Amino acid sequence: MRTTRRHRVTPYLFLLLPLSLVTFAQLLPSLFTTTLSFHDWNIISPPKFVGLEKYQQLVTSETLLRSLRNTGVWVVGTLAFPVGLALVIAKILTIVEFGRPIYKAIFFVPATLAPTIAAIVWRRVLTTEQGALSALLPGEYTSVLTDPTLNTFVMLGVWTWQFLGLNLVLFLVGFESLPRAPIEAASIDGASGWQIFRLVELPLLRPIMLLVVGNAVINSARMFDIPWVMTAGGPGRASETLAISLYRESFLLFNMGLGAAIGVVISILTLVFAVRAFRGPA
Amino acid sequence: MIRRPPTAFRVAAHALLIALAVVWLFPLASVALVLIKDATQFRALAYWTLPPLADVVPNIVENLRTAWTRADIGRYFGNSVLYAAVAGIGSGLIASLAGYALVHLRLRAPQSWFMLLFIGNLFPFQMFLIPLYIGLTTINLYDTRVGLILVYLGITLPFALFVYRNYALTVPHELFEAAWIDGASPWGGFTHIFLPITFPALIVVFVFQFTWTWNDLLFGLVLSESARPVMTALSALTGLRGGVPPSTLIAGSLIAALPPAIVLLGLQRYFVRGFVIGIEKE
Repeated sequence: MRTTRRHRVTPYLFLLLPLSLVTFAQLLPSLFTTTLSFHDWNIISPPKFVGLEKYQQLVTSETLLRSLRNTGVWVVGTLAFPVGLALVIAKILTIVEFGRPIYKAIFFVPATLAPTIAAIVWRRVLTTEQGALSALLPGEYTSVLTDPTLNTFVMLGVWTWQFLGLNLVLFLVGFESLPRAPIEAASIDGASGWQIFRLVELPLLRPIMLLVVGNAVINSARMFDIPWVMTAGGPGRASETLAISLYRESFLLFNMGLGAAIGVVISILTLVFAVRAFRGPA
Repeated sequence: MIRRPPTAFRVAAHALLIALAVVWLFPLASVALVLIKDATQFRALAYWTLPPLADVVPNIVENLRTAWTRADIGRYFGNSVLYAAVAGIGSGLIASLAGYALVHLRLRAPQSWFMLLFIGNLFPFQMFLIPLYIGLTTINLYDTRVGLILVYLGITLPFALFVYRNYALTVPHELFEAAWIDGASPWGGFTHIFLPITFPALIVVFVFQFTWTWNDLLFGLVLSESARPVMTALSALTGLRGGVPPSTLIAGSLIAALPPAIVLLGLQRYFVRGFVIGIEKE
Protein backbone atom coordinates (compact mmCIF):
# COMPACT_ATOMS: atom_id res chain seq x y z
CA MET A 1 0.00 0.00 0.00
CA ARG A 2 2.78 2.38 0.89
CA THR A 3 4.40 1.92 -2.48
CA THR A 4 1.25 2.85 -4.37
CA ARG A 5 0.88 6.05 -2.42
CA ARG A 6 4.50 6.85 -3.04
CA HIS A 7 3.92 6.34 -6.72
CA ARG A 8 0.78 8.41 -6.69
CA VAL A 9 1.91 11.52 -4.81
CA THR A 10 5.65 11.69 -5.49
CA PRO A 11 5.33 12.49 -9.22
CA TYR A 12 3.81 15.82 -8.32
CA LEU A 13 6.62 16.55 -5.86
CA PHE A 14 9.04 16.29 -8.77
CA LEU A 15 7.19 19.17 -10.43
CA LEU A 16 7.23 21.40 -7.37
CA LEU A 17 10.60 23.06 -7.79
CA PRO A 18 10.42 23.54 -11.60
CA LEU A 19 6.90 24.87 -11.34
CA SER A 20 7.70 27.39 -8.62
CA LEU A 21 10.68 28.77 -10.53
CA VAL A 22 8.72 29.13 -13.75
CA THR A 23 5.77 30.68 -11.92
CA PHE A 24 8.07 33.23 -10.31
CA ALA A 25 10.10 34.10 -13.40
CA GLN A 26 7.61 33.74 -16.26
CA LEU A 27 4.00 32.87 -15.50
CA LEU A 28 3.16 35.56 -12.94
CA PRO A 29 5.24 38.17 -14.77
CA SER A 30 3.38 37.55 -18.07
CA LEU A 31 0.02 37.98 -16.36
CA PHE A 32 1.25 41.05 -14.49
CA THR A 33 2.60 42.72 -17.63
CA THR A 34 -0.59 42.03 -19.56
CA THR A 35 -2.70 43.55 -16.78
CA LEU A 36 -0.31 46.46 -16.39
CA SER A 37 -0.66 47.33 -20.08
CA PHE A 38 -4.23 48.49 -19.36
CA HIS A 39 -3.04 50.83 -16.61
CA ASP A 40 -1.34 54.16 -16.22
CA TRP A 41 1.48 53.81 -13.68
CA ASN A 42 4.59 55.85 -12.91
CA ILE A 43 5.72 53.54 -10.03
CA ILE A 44 5.03 56.26 -7.41
CA SER A 45 1.29 56.93 -7.48
CA PRO A 46 -1.09 53.92 -7.56
CA PRO A 47 -1.88 52.41 -10.98
CA LYS A 48 -4.97 53.76 -12.73
CA PHE A 49 -7.05 51.66 -15.15
CA VAL A 50 -7.12 53.34 -18.56
CA GLY A 51 -8.36 50.57 -20.86
CA LEU A 52 -6.70 50.54 -24.26
CA GLU A 53 -5.22 54.02 -23.94
CA LYS A 54 -1.60 52.77 -23.81
CA TYR A 55 -2.09 50.81 -27.03
CA GLN A 56 -3.64 53.85 -28.63
CA GLN A 57 -0.63 55.87 -27.55
CA LEU A 58 1.60 53.22 -29.09
CA VAL A 59 0.05 53.51 -32.55
CA THR A 60 -0.18 57.29 -32.52
CA SER A 61 3.25 58.21 -31.13
CA GLU A 62 5.68 58.98 -33.93
CA THR A 63 8.60 57.65 -31.88
CA LEU A 64 6.94 54.33 -31.17
CA LEU A 65 5.71 53.92 -34.73
CA ARG A 66 9.26 54.43 -35.92
CA SER A 67 10.38 51.88 -33.38
CA LEU A 68 7.79 49.45 -34.75
CA ARG A 69 9.01 50.16 -38.28
CA ASN A 70 12.65 49.64 -37.25
CA THR A 71 11.70 46.32 -35.70
CA GLY A 72 10.07 45.38 -39.01
CA VAL A 73 13.29 46.27 -40.82
CA TRP A 74 15.21 44.08 -38.36
CA VAL A 75 12.94 41.10 -38.96
CA VAL A 76 12.82 41.37 -42.77
CA GLY A 77 16.53 42.21 -42.95
CA THR A 78 17.36 39.23 -40.75
CA LEU A 79 15.51 36.89 -43.09
CA ALA A 80 17.32 38.39 -46.07
CA PHE A 81 20.89 38.49 -44.76
CA PRO A 82 21.86 36.27 -41.84
CA VAL A 83 19.33 33.67 -43.04
CA GLY A 84 19.18 34.09 -46.84
CA LEU A 85 22.90 34.65 -47.27
CA ALA A 86 23.64 31.71 -44.96
CA LEU A 87 21.54 29.47 -47.20
CA VAL A 88 23.40 30.67 -50.30
CA ILE A 89 26.79 30.13 -48.66
CA ALA A 90 25.75 26.71 -47.36
CA LYS A 91 24.68 25.67 -50.85
CA ILE A 92 27.91 26.94 -52.36
CA LEU A 93 29.92 25.09 -49.71
CA THR A 94 28.18 21.84 -50.58
CA ILE A 95 29.25 22.28 -54.21
CA VAL A 96 32.81 23.56 -53.81
CA GLU A 97 34.68 21.32 -51.43
CA PHE A 98 38.02 23.08 -51.46
CA GLY A 99 38.61 25.03 -48.25
CA ARG A 100 35.22 24.19 -46.77
CA PRO A 101 36.37 23.72 -43.14
CA ILE A 102 38.30 27.00 -43.24
CA TYR A 103 35.37 29.00 -44.60
CA LYS A 104 33.04 27.36 -42.11
CA ALA A 105 35.37 28.22 -39.22
CA ILE A 106 35.75 31.85 -40.34
CA PHE A 107 31.99 32.36 -40.59
CA PHE A 108 31.31 30.60 -37.29
CA VAL A 109 33.81 32.45 -35.09
CA PRO A 110 31.64 35.60 -34.66
CA ALA A 111 28.69 33.35 -33.81
CA THR A 112 30.47 32.40 -30.61
CA LEU A 113 30.54 36.07 -29.55
CA ALA A 114 27.83 37.73 -27.51
CA PRO A 115 25.85 40.36 -29.47
CA THR A 116 27.17 42.89 -26.94
CA ILE A 117 30.74 42.05 -27.89
CA ALA A 118 29.97 42.02 -31.61
CA ALA A 119 28.62 45.54 -31.15
CA ILE A 120 31.71 46.70 -29.23
CA VAL A 121 34.00 45.25 -31.90
CA TRP A 122 32.12 46.96 -34.75
CA ARG A 123 32.03 50.28 -32.92
CA ARG A 124 35.81 50.18 -33.00
CA VAL A 125 35.63 49.58 -36.76
CA LEU A 126 33.08 52.30 -37.48
CA THR A 127 33.87 55.07 -35.02
CA THR A 128 35.12 58.45 -36.23
CA GLU A 129 37.65 58.71 -33.42
CA GLN A 130 40.52 56.51 -34.59
CA GLY A 131 38.30 53.94 -36.19
CA ALA A 132 39.67 51.04 -38.17
CA LEU A 133 37.63 51.90 -41.25
CA SER A 134 38.14 55.67 -41.25
CA ALA A 135 41.91 55.04 -41.19
CA LEU A 136 41.62 53.24 -44.53
CA LEU A 137 39.16 55.53 -46.31
CA PRO A 138 40.36 58.62 -48.10
CA GLY A 139 38.77 61.98 -47.30
CA GLU A 140 36.38 63.00 -44.57
CA TYR A 141 34.61 60.13 -42.79
CA THR A 142 31.28 60.79 -41.14
CA SER A 143 30.03 58.05 -38.90
CA VAL A 144 27.35 55.86 -40.39
CA LEU A 145 26.08 55.21 -36.87
CA THR A 146 24.84 58.76 -36.32
CA ASP A 147 22.94 58.84 -39.61
CA PRO A 148 19.34 58.01 -38.70
CA THR A 149 18.41 56.78 -42.16
CA LEU A 150 21.39 54.46 -42.39
CA ASN A 151 22.28 53.20 -38.95
CA THR A 152 19.65 50.48 -38.62
CA PHE A 153 20.93 48.94 -41.86
CA VAL A 154 24.51 49.21 -40.69
CA MET A 155 23.61 47.45 -37.45
CA LEU A 156 21.81 44.82 -39.48
CA GLY A 157 25.18 44.23 -41.11
CA VAL A 158 26.76 43.75 -37.69
CA TRP A 159 23.99 41.32 -36.77
CA THR A 160 24.60 39.45 -40.03
CA TRP A 161 28.26 39.15 -39.13
CA GLN A 162 27.36 37.76 -35.72
CA PHE A 163 24.33 35.59 -36.54
CA LEU A 164 25.08 34.13 -39.98
CA GLY A 165 27.51 31.49 -38.73
CA LEU A 166 24.92 29.71 -36.63
CA ASN A 167 22.41 29.52 -39.49
CA LEU A 168 25.15 28.39 -41.84
CA VAL A 169 26.07 25.50 -39.55
CA LEU A 170 22.41 24.49 -39.25
CA PHE A 171 21.85 24.66 -43.03
CA LEU A 172 24.99 22.57 -43.58
CA VAL A 173 23.63 19.96 -41.18
CA GLY A 174 20.42 20.09 -43.21
CA PHE A 175 22.18 19.61 -46.55
CA GLU A 176 24.26 16.74 -45.17
CA SER A 177 21.20 14.89 -43.94
CA LEU A 178 19.34 15.14 -47.27
CA PRO A 179 18.54 11.76 -48.81
CA ARG A 180 20.67 11.22 -51.90
CA ALA A 181 18.21 9.18 -53.96
CA PRO A 182 15.78 11.93 -55.08
CA ILE A 183 18.65 14.28 -55.90
CA GLU A 184 20.43 11.66 -57.98
CA ALA A 185 17.18 10.69 -59.69
CA ALA A 186 16.55 14.33 -60.65
CA SER A 187 20.12 14.62 -61.84
CA ILE A 188 19.80 11.53 -64.05
CA ASP A 189 16.55 12.92 -65.45
CA GLY A 190 18.57 15.91 -66.61
CA ALA A 191 17.50 18.55 -64.09
CA SER A 192 19.87 21.51 -63.83
CA GLY A 193 21.67 22.35 -60.58
CA TRP A 194 19.31 25.24 -60.00
CA GLN A 195 16.23 23.07 -60.62
CA ILE A 196 17.50 20.43 -58.20
CA PHE A 197 18.09 23.11 -55.56
CA ARG A 198 14.71 24.77 -55.99
CA LEU A 199 12.48 21.75 -56.63
CA VAL A 200 14.15 18.94 -54.69
CA GLU A 201 16.50 20.23 -52.02
CA LEU A 202 14.56 23.25 -50.74
CA PRO A 203 11.35 21.31 -50.07
CA LEU A 204 13.38 18.60 -48.31
CA LEU A 205 15.06 21.27 -46.18
CA ARG A 206 11.70 22.46 -44.87
CA PRO A 207 12.07 21.24 -41.26
CA ILE A 208 15.42 22.91 -40.75
CA MET A 209 14.20 25.98 -42.65
CA LEU A 210 11.28 26.38 -40.26
CA LEU A 211 13.62 26.06 -37.33
CA VAL A 212 16.09 28.65 -38.64
CA VAL A 213 13.37 31.10 -39.74
CA GLY A 214 11.47 30.80 -36.46
CA ASN A 215 14.61 31.33 -34.42
CA ALA A 216 15.60 34.29 -36.61
CA VAL A 217 12.21 36.02 -36.41
CA ILE A 218 12.08 35.63 -32.64
CA ASN A 219 15.61 36.91 -32.11
CA SER A 220 15.23 39.87 -34.46
CA ALA A 221 11.80 40.95 -33.26
CA ARG A 222 13.25 41.11 -29.74
CA MET A 223 16.46 42.83 -30.83
CA PHE A 224 17.98 44.83 -27.99
CA ASP A 225 21.70 44.26 -27.45
CA ILE A 226 23.25 45.43 -30.72
CA PRO A 227 21.37 48.75 -31.11
CA TRP A 228 21.63 49.39 -27.37
CA VAL A 229 25.43 49.15 -27.40
CA MET A 230 25.99 50.76 -30.83
CA THR A 231 23.59 53.73 -30.80
CA ALA A 232 21.51 53.40 -27.60
CA GLY A 233 18.59 53.87 -29.98
CA GLY A 234 19.87 57.23 -31.22
CA PRO A 235 20.42 59.75 -32.58
CA GLY A 236 17.51 60.92 -30.48
CA ARG A 237 15.28 57.87 -30.57
CA ALA A 238 15.63 57.25 -34.30
CA SER A 239 17.08 53.73 -34.24
CA GLU A 240 15.10 52.33 -31.33
CA THR A 241 13.64 48.87 -31.63
CA LEU A 242 10.51 47.87 -29.71
CA ALA A 243 12.70 46.21 -27.08
CA ILE A 244 14.69 49.40 -26.56
CA SER A 245 11.52 51.51 -26.46
CA LEU A 246 10.16 49.17 -23.79
CA TYR A 247 13.31 49.58 -21.73
CA ARG A 248 13.36 53.36 -22.15
CA GLU A 249 9.66 53.90 -21.42
CA SER A 250 9.67 51.57 -18.40
CA PHE A 251 12.98 52.12 -16.69
CA LEU A 252 14.13 55.57 -17.79
CA LEU A 253 10.82 57.43 -18.25
CA PHE A 254 8.76 55.33 -15.81
CA ASN A 255 5.81 54.91 -18.16
CA MET A 256 5.26 51.40 -16.85
CA GLY A 257 1.89 50.91 -18.54
CA LEU A 258 3.22 51.93 -21.93
CA GLY A 259 6.29 49.73 -21.49
CA ALA A 260 4.03 46.79 -20.65
CA ALA A 261 1.89 47.48 -23.74
CA ILE A 262 5.02 47.37 -25.90
CA GLY A 263 5.87 44.02 -24.29
CA VAL A 264 2.45 42.66 -25.22
CA VAL A 265 2.90 43.88 -28.80
CA ILE A 266 6.29 42.14 -29.12
CA SER A 267 4.64 38.99 -27.74
CA ILE A 268 1.87 39.11 -30.31
CA LEU A 269 4.34 39.71 -33.13
CA THR A 270 6.44 36.69 -32.20
CA LEU A 271 3.81 34.32 -30.82
CA VAL A 272 3.03 32.56 -34.07
CA PHE A 273 6.71 31.86 -34.67
CA ALA A 274 7.35 30.96 -31.04
CA VAL A 275 4.57 28.39 -31.04
CA ARG A 276 5.80 27.02 -34.32
CA ALA A 277 9.44 26.87 -33.47
CA PHE A 278 8.62 25.80 -29.91
CA ARG A 279 11.95 26.98 -28.76
CA GLY A 280 13.69 28.41 -25.74
CA PRO A 281 16.39 30.97 -25.02
CA ALA A 282 19.29 30.54 -27.35
CA MET B 1 26.99 10.80 -59.24
CA ILE B 2 26.46 14.51 -59.22
CA ARG B 3 28.20 16.40 -61.97
CA ARG B 4 31.31 18.39 -61.18
CA PRO B 5 30.46 22.12 -61.25
CA PRO B 6 31.92 24.08 -64.18
CA THR B 7 35.18 25.94 -63.63
CA ALA B 8 33.54 29.35 -64.08
CA PHE B 9 31.15 28.56 -61.27
CA ARG B 10 33.93 27.44 -58.95
CA VAL B 11 36.00 30.56 -59.63
CA ALA B 12 33.03 32.81 -58.97
CA ALA B 13 32.12 30.88 -55.83
CA HIS B 14 35.60 31.20 -54.38
CA ALA B 15 35.75 34.88 -55.28
CA LEU B 16 32.53 35.43 -53.33
CA LEU B 17 33.65 33.30 -50.39
CA ILE B 18 37.03 34.98 -50.17
CA ALA B 19 35.47 38.45 -50.32
CA LEU B 20 33.07 37.54 -47.51
CA ALA B 21 35.83 35.93 -45.48
CA VAL B 22 37.81 39.17 -45.69
CA VAL B 23 34.79 41.12 -44.44
CA TRP B 24 34.34 38.57 -41.64
CA LEU B 25 37.97 38.80 -40.53
CA PHE B 26 38.32 42.58 -40.86
CA PRO B 27 36.69 43.50 -37.50
CA LEU B 28 38.73 40.85 -35.70
CA ALA B 29 41.92 42.24 -37.22
CA SER B 30 40.79 45.75 -36.26
CA VAL B 31 40.43 44.92 -32.59
CA ALA B 32 43.62 42.84 -32.60
CA LEU B 33 45.50 46.02 -33.56
CA VAL B 34 44.04 47.81 -30.55
CA LEU B 35 44.96 44.96 -28.26
CA ILE B 36 48.65 44.83 -29.21
CA LYS B 37 49.33 48.53 -28.60
CA ASP B 38 49.61 50.43 -25.36
CA ALA B 39 47.62 53.64 -24.84
CA THR B 40 50.45 55.91 -26.03
CA GLN B 41 51.15 53.86 -29.16
CA PHE B 42 47.44 53.76 -29.94
CA ARG B 43 47.29 57.54 -29.92
CA ALA B 44 50.62 58.16 -31.64
CA LEU B 45 50.71 55.51 -34.38
CA ALA B 46 48.38 55.32 -37.37
CA TYR B 47 45.64 52.73 -36.85
CA TRP B 48 47.05 50.00 -39.06
CA THR B 49 50.71 50.58 -38.11
CA LEU B 50 52.15 47.79 -36.00
CA PRO B 51 53.96 48.56 -32.73
CA PRO B 52 57.54 47.26 -32.24
CA LEU B 53 57.34 43.48 -32.24
CA ALA B 54 58.96 43.16 -28.81
CA ASP B 55 56.14 45.25 -27.30
CA VAL B 56 53.29 43.09 -28.52
CA VAL B 57 53.13 40.47 -25.77
CA PRO B 58 53.82 42.87 -22.86
CA ASN B 59 51.14 45.22 -24.26
CA ILE B 60 48.53 42.48 -24.48
CA VAL B 61 49.30 41.39 -20.93
CA GLU B 62 49.17 44.95 -19.66
CA ASN B 63 45.86 45.68 -21.43
CA LEU B 64 44.29 42.52 -20.05
CA ARG B 65 45.56 43.36 -16.58
CA THR B 66 44.20 46.90 -16.73
CA ALA B 67 40.81 45.65 -17.86
CA TRP B 68 40.70 42.95 -15.20
CA THR B 69 41.71 45.19 -12.27
CA ARG B 70 41.25 48.86 -13.07
CA ALA B 71 38.02 48.49 -15.09
CA ASP B 72 36.91 45.87 -12.56
CA ILE B 73 36.09 43.29 -15.24
CA GLY B 74 37.49 40.66 -12.87
CA ARG B 75 34.70 41.15 -10.38
CA TYR B 76 31.92 41.10 -13.02
CA PHE B 77 33.57 38.10 -14.67
CA GLY B 78 33.23 36.31 -11.32
CA ASN B 79 29.55 37.23 -11.16
CA SER B 80 28.96 35.88 -14.66
CA VAL B 81 30.82 32.64 -13.90
CA LEU B 82 28.47 32.16 -10.97
CA TYR B 83 25.28 33.00 -12.91
CA ALA B 84 26.16 31.04 -16.04
CA ALA B 85 27.43 27.99 -14.16
CA VAL B 86 24.41 27.84 -11.85
CA ALA B 87 21.94 28.42 -14.70
CA GLY B 88 23.81 26.06 -17.01
CA ILE B 89 23.95 23.15 -14.58
CA GLY B 90 21.00 24.01 -12.34
CA SER B 91 18.40 24.47 -15.07
CA GLY B 92 19.33 21.05 -16.45
CA LEU B 93 19.13 19.31 -13.09
CA ILE B 94 15.83 20.94 -12.14
CA ALA B 95 14.39 20.28 -15.59
CA SER B 96 15.43 16.64 -15.31
CA LEU B 97 13.09 16.27 -12.30
CA ALA B 98 10.15 17.42 -14.37
CA GLY B 99 11.25 15.59 -17.52
CA TYR B 100 11.39 12.34 -15.55
CA ALA B 101 8.04 12.85 -13.86
CA LEU B 102 6.27 13.93 -17.08
CA VAL B 103 7.45 10.99 -19.17
CA HIS B 104 8.05 8.08 -16.81
CA LEU B 105 5.92 8.59 -13.70
CA ARG B 106 2.16 8.36 -13.51
CA LEU B 107 0.78 11.90 -13.61
CA ARG B 108 -2.65 13.10 -14.53
CA ALA B 109 -2.56 15.05 -17.83
CA PRO B 110 1.23 15.16 -18.36
CA GLN B 111 0.73 17.14 -21.57
CA SER B 112 -1.01 19.96 -19.70
CA TRP B 113 1.68 20.07 -17.04
CA PHE B 114 4.28 20.33 -19.77
CA MET B 115 2.42 23.20 -21.45
CA LEU B 116 2.10 25.01 -18.13
CA LEU B 117 5.84 24.71 -17.52
CA PHE B 118 6.74 25.64 -21.08
CA ILE B 119 4.22 28.31 -22.04
CA GLY B 120 6.20 31.22 -20.58
CA ASN B 121 8.86 30.59 -23.18
CA LEU B 122 6.48 31.62 -25.94
CA PHE B 123 6.73 35.18 -24.64
CA PRO B 124 9.70 37.44 -25.25
CA PHE B 125 11.85 38.10 -22.19
CA GLN B 126 10.79 41.72 -22.30
CA MET B 127 7.42 40.56 -20.98
CA PHE B 128 9.04 39.61 -17.69
CA LEU B 129 11.26 42.62 -17.10
CA ILE B 130 8.94 45.05 -15.34
CA PRO B 131 7.36 42.50 -12.95
CA LEU B 132 10.72 40.95 -12.13
CA TYR B 133 12.16 44.35 -11.35
CA ILE B 134 9.23 45.17 -9.11
CA GLY B 135 9.12 41.68 -7.60
CA LEU B 136 12.81 41.54 -6.75
CA THR B 137 12.68 45.05 -5.29
CA THR B 138 9.70 44.07 -3.11
CA ILE B 139 11.40 41.01 -1.64
CA ASN B 140 14.71 42.86 -1.25
CA LEU B 141 16.53 40.79 -3.85
CA TYR B 142 17.12 43.59 -6.38
CA ASP B 143 20.83 43.82 -7.21
CA THR B 144 21.68 40.61 -5.37
CA ARG B 145 23.34 37.48 -6.70
CA VAL B 146 20.55 35.34 -5.27
CA GLY B 147 17.94 37.39 -7.09
CA LEU B 148 19.71 37.11 -10.43
CA ILE B 149 20.30 33.39 -9.98
CA LEU B 150 16.59 32.82 -9.35
CA VAL B 151 15.70 34.83 -12.45
CA TYR B 152 18.25 33.12 -14.70
CA LEU B 153 17.15 29.69 -13.46
CA GLY B 154 13.50 30.49 -14.06
CA ILE B 155 14.15 31.86 -17.54
CA THR B 156 16.40 29.02 -18.68
CA LEU B 157 14.26 26.23 -17.22
CA PRO B 158 11.57 25.80 -19.93
CA PHE B 159 14.00 25.19 -22.77
CA ALA B 160 15.97 22.84 -20.53
CA LEU B 161 12.75 20.96 -19.91
CA PHE B 162 12.02 20.87 -23.63
CA VAL B 163 15.37 19.17 -24.24
CA TYR B 164 14.92 16.83 -21.28
CA ARG B 165 11.44 15.78 -22.23
CA ASN B 166 12.48 14.91 -25.77
CA TYR B 167 15.42 12.99 -24.42
CA ALA B 168 13.33 11.20 -21.79
CA LEU B 169 11.01 9.94 -24.54
CA THR B 170 13.93 7.99 -26.01
CA VAL B 171 14.57 6.14 -22.73
CA PRO B 172 12.66 2.80 -22.66
CA HIS B 173 9.93 2.85 -20.06
CA GLU B 174 10.50 -0.84 -19.23
CA LEU B 175 13.70 0.07 -17.41
CA PHE B 176 11.69 1.90 -14.76
CA GLU B 177 8.88 -0.65 -14.60
CA ALA B 178 11.47 -3.32 -13.83
CA ALA B 179 13.03 -1.17 -11.12
CA TRP B 180 9.68 -0.53 -9.49
CA ILE B 181 8.79 -4.19 -9.46
CA ASP B 182 12.10 -4.69 -7.65
CA GLY B 183 10.86 -2.22 -5.07
CA ALA B 184 12.65 0.95 -6.20
CA SER B 185 11.05 4.28 -5.25
CA PRO B 186 10.36 6.98 -7.87
CA TRP B 187 13.30 8.87 -6.44
CA GLY B 188 15.51 5.78 -6.73
CA GLY B 189 14.51 5.40 -10.38
CA PHE B 190 15.49 9.01 -10.90
CA THR B 191 18.93 8.94 -9.30
CA HIS B 192 19.96 5.43 -10.34
CA ILE B 193 18.52 5.16 -13.83
CA PHE B 194 17.19 8.41 -15.29
CA LEU B 195 19.96 10.86 -14.39
CA PRO B 196 22.87 8.66 -15.54
CA ILE B 197 21.13 7.70 -18.80
CA THR B 198 20.14 11.25 -19.73
CA PHE B 199 23.58 12.73 -19.03
CA PRO B 200 24.01 13.88 -22.68
CA ALA B 201 20.88 16.02 -22.28
CA LEU B 202 22.53 17.71 -19.32
CA ILE B 203 25.46 18.68 -21.56
CA VAL B 204 23.16 19.97 -24.32
CA VAL B 205 21.32 22.11 -21.78
CA PHE B 206 24.58 23.29 -20.25
CA VAL B 207 25.99 24.48 -23.58
CA PHE B 208 22.84 26.45 -24.38
CA GLN B 209 22.04 27.92 -21.02
CA PHE B 210 25.60 28.66 -19.94
CA THR B 211 26.08 30.61 -23.17
CA TRP B 212 22.70 32.30 -23.02
CA THR B 213 23.15 33.42 -19.42
CA TRP B 214 26.72 34.53 -20.02
CA ASN B 215 25.68 36.62 -23.02
CA ASP B 216 22.67 38.21 -21.34
CA LEU B 217 22.71 41.99 -21.27
CA LEU B 218 19.11 42.96 -20.57
CA PHE B 219 18.29 41.22 -17.28
CA GLY B 220 21.62 42.34 -15.85
CA LEU B 221 20.85 45.90 -16.93
CA VAL B 222 17.41 45.99 -15.33
CA LEU B 223 17.95 43.87 -12.22
CA SER B 224 21.41 44.80 -10.95
CA GLU B 225 23.94 47.53 -10.34
CA SER B 226 26.80 46.13 -8.28
CA ALA B 227 25.96 42.43 -8.77
CA ARG B 228 26.21 43.00 -12.53
CA PRO B 229 27.12 40.28 -14.99
CA VAL B 230 30.05 40.97 -17.27
CA MET B 231 28.09 41.90 -20.46
CA THR B 232 26.16 44.61 -18.66
CA ALA B 233 29.36 45.92 -17.12
CA LEU B 234 31.06 45.98 -20.54
CA SER B 235 28.20 47.80 -22.20
CA ALA B 236 28.38 50.44 -19.47
CA LEU B 237 32.07 50.96 -20.26
CA THR B 238 31.20 51.93 -23.84
CA GLY B 239 29.08 54.86 -22.71
CA LEU B 240 30.24 58.43 -22.52
CA ARG B 241 30.03 58.50 -18.74
CA GLY B 242 31.84 55.27 -17.95
CA GLY B 243 34.18 55.47 -20.94
CA VAL B 244 37.56 53.74 -20.76
CA PRO B 245 40.46 53.76 -23.25
CA PRO B 246 39.82 51.57 -26.34
CA SER B 247 42.61 49.17 -25.38
CA THR B 248 40.95 48.49 -22.02
CA LEU B 249 37.51 48.02 -23.54
CA ILE B 250 38.77 45.61 -26.18
CA ALA B 251 40.85 43.67 -23.66
CA GLY B 252 37.80 43.41 -21.41
CA SER B 253 35.73 42.20 -24.36
CA LEU B 254 38.29 39.52 -25.12
CA ILE B 255 38.16 38.30 -21.52
CA ALA B 256 34.36 38.23 -21.60
CA ALA B 257 34.31 36.48 -24.98
CA LEU B 258 36.45 33.53 -23.95
CA PRO B 259 34.20 31.35 -21.73
CA PRO B 260 31.28 30.93 -24.17
CA ALA B 261 33.68 30.56 -27.10
CA ILE B 262 35.48 27.75 -25.28
CA VAL B 263 32.20 26.06 -24.33
CA LEU B 264 30.72 26.41 -27.83
CA LEU B 265 33.78 25.29 -29.75
CA GLY B 266 34.57 22.50 -27.30
CA LEU B 267 31.01 21.16 -27.22
CA GLN B 268 29.89 22.18 -30.73
CA ARG B 269 28.44 18.74 -31.39
CA TYR B 270 26.02 19.10 -28.48
CA PHE B 271 25.14 22.64 -29.52
CA VAL B 272 23.96 21.64 -32.99
CA ARG B 273 22.20 18.66 -31.45
CA GLY B 274 20.28 20.93 -29.09
CA PHE B 275 19.01 22.90 -32.05
CA VAL B 276 17.83 19.99 -34.10
CA ILE B 277 16.47 18.04 -31.12
CA GLY B 278 13.00 19.39 -31.79
CA ILE B 279 12.86 18.28 -35.41
CA GLU B 280 14.46 14.86 -35.20
CA LYS B 281 12.04 13.58 -32.54
CA GLU B 282 8.34 14.49 -32.05
